[in-house]
Order: sequence, then structure tokens, then C-alpha cells
Amino acid sequence: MGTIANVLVGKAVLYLREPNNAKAEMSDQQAYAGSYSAKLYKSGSGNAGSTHIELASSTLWTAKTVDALVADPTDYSFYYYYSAVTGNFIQFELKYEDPDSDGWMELTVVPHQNTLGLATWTKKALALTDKIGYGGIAESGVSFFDWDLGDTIAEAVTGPLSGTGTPAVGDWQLKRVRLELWEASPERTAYVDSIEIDGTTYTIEPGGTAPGMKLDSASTEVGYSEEGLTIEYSAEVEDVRVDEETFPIGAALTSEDVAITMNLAESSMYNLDKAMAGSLLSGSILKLGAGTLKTLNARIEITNPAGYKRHILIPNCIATGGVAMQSRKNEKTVVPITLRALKTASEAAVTIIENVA
Amino acid sequence: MVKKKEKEIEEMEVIENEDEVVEIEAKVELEEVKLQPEKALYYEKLFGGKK
Repeated sequence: MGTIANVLVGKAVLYLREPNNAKAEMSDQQAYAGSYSAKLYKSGSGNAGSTHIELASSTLWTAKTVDALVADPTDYSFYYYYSAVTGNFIQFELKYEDPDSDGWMELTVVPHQNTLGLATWTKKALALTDKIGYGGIAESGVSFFDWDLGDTIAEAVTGPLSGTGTPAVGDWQLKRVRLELWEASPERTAYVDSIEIDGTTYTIEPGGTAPGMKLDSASTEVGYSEEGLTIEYSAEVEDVRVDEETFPIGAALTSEDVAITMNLAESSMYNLDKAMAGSLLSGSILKLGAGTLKTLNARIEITNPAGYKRHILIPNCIATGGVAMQSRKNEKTVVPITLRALKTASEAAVTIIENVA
Repeated sequence: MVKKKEKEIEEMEVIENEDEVVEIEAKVELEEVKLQPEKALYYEKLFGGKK
């Protein structure tokens, strides 16, 4: 008998990041438990944004409320290994939603601001004295945020500084957790493992128990597509032959390639720029002939029939191939994109990660 | 954080000349930049205003 969950159906979603100055990868370079950890990297340049590992529940974690966090934050912890520089390291973001309205809030604990990395595995359990920042939409539909870091977990959500009222968030329930690097500078790497959420510890492993695990780095979805996405792996093999045998007695791998091709139905400037290897996009002007070759960070997300995600991560790739765009009356202009994977020094060129939770 | 530091500086009696005060105030300002997370800017952009 076959296994239905092994049959992949449906479209793949392509996310891109460029410039390639922040990466989130599954890495075996460091691990606190098991063989892997989440590796979050900022190059030191470019825009700030969330480079993170995410754990998410398909439904709300009903017992994990804001009140429960404030009552005992030590039930939330993680192990970290930071590169030896001083900077803003891991932020622990908890996204809560109101089960009775469209209200939501991202509460971010920032225990490691301006911290010197020690290049050794250490545990951090959240504490009542840890600083927090938060922002979201209240039950009334009004936005609120407070990021002057005047509050701690113990003080919890005291409302926006403008004094328009304290949103009632105590019974809001946890939906998602992100451990993230935000600021672009300085260049730094954070490995994260064994994330504890409300007393349950999840070892960060491919195929592990961490629910809805995702590694991402503020990437952009390319939008509507036509005729799906094709991932093509090719390998060249050199046979080893001898006079005495008619079959090859061995074989050696001489080259490998992974190429992704997709027809983008959205002819946005962003998509045009990513499809063309040497283009330079600045605001509303796209220049060709600048002589640069962009490297991109690509992530492909596929959902299997069991409802779990499979992620294909390509930390470094380049756009190759021609970009032929036809403009015809009453027909959409499709932007074809071809991406080719490049190898990085310490990590694999392509990783395919299957979630089982 | 900064207000607290400024208060601490006011209470310090060892500061005797103006140059030293300027130097310490500059240090406090630098600390504020490092401690202020850029994620605040994300919410300012998302919701508007500065809080």
C-alpha cells in the first residue's frame, strides 16, 4: 500500500530575498541537542527585518495566554550560540490572538540587546525583568504599540504611551513564536536550539516535533504564477571503464545543478528585477547594464496532503536564462524566471526540509 | 533607561569640569542608540505615529 501523505499535490509558493544579506538555515555546524540547529545570519549591511525560526500552531494554543506568560515566563526558553561580537541578538517574539475578535498582538521580549556573543551554548529562560516591546490591533480595531522598552514582562502590556487606553489582552492566546535577529548590523550569527514553549521543549531538527517550523528572512512572495514551478536537479556522471569489462566498473560525480523555473504572472518591478540577472532596481527605476550579478535567497513552500509544510531552502542562487516578455492585447505579460543554486562554503547548496508536525 | 542614567550623572559629585560632563552625556546617547531596537520603526511604519 502507498502512503497518501507522500503524494505531493498543489502549487508551490516561491519567496525571494535580495540583496542576499540575511539568511535563516537549518545547520549542522552547531547543535545543542540532536544534529541540527537553526542558524540565523546577518551580514552587517542592508535593511533590518526579521530573520527567524518560527514555530506555529494550526489552531490557537488555548492555554498559553498572555496572563500565563506573565505568571511564569521561565516556561519559555531557548539555547543559543552567538558569534563573538557585540550586538542585538535573539528577540523572542510571541504572537497572540484574541479568540473573540480580530485583535492580535506581537509581544517581543528583547533579553539580548547589546550583548557580547560568547561562542558557547547557553540557556536563556525568559524572566520577569526582561524588557518587552509590543504592537498590534486591539479588540476595538484600534492599533497600539509601545517600543520604548520601558516595560518588562512583569509589567506586561500597559497600553500605548499616547494614553488612548490599555488594550485588554490577558486572555489572548498564543498562535506563533519567532526567535529572530532584526537589526542588519553588526555581522553576526546566532544558532538556536531546544526552544521551550510553555514547558514543552522542541529540539530543532528536520522532521522534529516543533510544530509548523519555518525558517525565513523577511522574504517576498512572488505572487500569482502560471503553470506552476519546476525544480530541476541534474547531475553529470563520468563512467570508469576498463578494457576487460563491457559495463563501467565505477562512476564519479563530476557536476551537479539545481534550477528553478517559474512563470510569474505578476509583472511587478520587483519580479522583473529578480528575473534579470544584472538588473538594478532603485525605487521606480530599473536599470540594465550596471554590470552586476545579483545573488538571491530563495525559499519554496509546499504543503503535503497531511497538511504539513515542506520547505526547499536555497541560501544562494542567481537568476539565469533569458527573460522574454510578450505584451499582447487582452493577454497578461508573463515574466519567466530561472534560478540556479550556488554552493556556500559551510552549508549545503540546497536543503529540503520536511515537517512532520 | 536614559533618564535613569542622566539622574545618576546628576547625583554624581565627582564631576568637576564641563568637559567630563559632555563626554559622559555622549556615552549615554550612544547607549540609547544601541538599546533602541529597530523593530520599533517597523511598527511606526505599520501603524503610523511614534510611540
